[in-house]
Amino acid sequence: MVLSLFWVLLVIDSTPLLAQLGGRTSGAQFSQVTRLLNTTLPTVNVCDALGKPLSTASLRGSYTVLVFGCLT
Amino acid sequence: METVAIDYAPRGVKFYYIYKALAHPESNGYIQPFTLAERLLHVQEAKRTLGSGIEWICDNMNNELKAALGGAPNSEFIINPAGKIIRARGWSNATILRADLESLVGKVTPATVVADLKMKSTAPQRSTATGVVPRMQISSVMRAVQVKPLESDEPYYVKLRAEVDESFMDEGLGMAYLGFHLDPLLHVHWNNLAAPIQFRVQCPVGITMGPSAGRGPEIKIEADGDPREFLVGLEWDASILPATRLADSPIIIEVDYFACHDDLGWCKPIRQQYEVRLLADRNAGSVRGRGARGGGRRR
Repeated sequence: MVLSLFWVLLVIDSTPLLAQLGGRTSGAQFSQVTRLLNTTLPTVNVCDALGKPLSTASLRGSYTVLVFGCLT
Repeated sequence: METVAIDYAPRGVKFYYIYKALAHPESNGYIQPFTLAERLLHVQEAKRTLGSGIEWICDNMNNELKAALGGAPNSEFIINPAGKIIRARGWSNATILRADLESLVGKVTPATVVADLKMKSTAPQRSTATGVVPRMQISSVMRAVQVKPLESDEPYYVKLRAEVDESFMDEGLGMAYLGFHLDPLLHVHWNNLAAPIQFRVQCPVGITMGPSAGRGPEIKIEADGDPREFLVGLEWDASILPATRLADSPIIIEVDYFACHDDLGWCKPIRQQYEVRLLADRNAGSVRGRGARGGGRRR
């Protein structure tokens, strides 16, 4: 019973990882992205490339293109 | 996206890459950073290796922007001046992006093409020997679990990646992978003239890891940059440690190793500790081709 609870907990938490293990973006992730259409860009505190604090709210005022990426 | 940015930045469109957790750690030797300062080093490395002129935004270490925007590794968004998301794609596509901007801002002719770009991309730099220590071959599907460094006066030159196998996930009894990876952006190598890396494990009641200590191999050359990898048995007794307490019951792994800086010349012993929680880490990324040349898990 407790063991199955652990399993459920781990699986719920790792569903995106299962997709990543396959090396592809999952349909679930795509759906999470497209679901954002016509919503307001969430306000999140991040920083610029030099570490200066930046709020995503500051990206308003013009058309802005955002693309996620990383070194690998 | 570079060609689109060149054409549309003069039209007032802003372009940003958002730097996030690595999708495929170990590719080209890069590993997940532990701190924001280290993630910013990744951003500088991305700028250097890609040669892109597009500005970068760096996600915070809680990966909040990635989570807020759907969690896909290469997604693409257009935000209108009012702050509304008017295009959202799971995977970036420059052709579609250009078409979108043509409809929103107007067509640019002639359009810049990739052949017009003079991007100076450069390969990752490595000053330490690799391919010296054979990589571990793992046939089982593995999932990364959460690793957190404990406070230390020194940077974490060596970063631990911890994974558990299917058997553990299914039955609470299986194997754990412990990989101690040198961070190439911190420019440190193993000093093989000193004692090899050693680790000790301290488990909470209800979790057993065995062996509870290990020692890296003796290497014949003076220095290298290969990961030191271990497979250990892992057992979890849910009747003693309920699942609801796993988050509060970390395994403590302590390491001792001798590190030398590639350029500055110092060598020193380091002792550091990591907390490992047996909970999936959704931001750990997946390793590709470990054991194959260049790193990563073989599939």
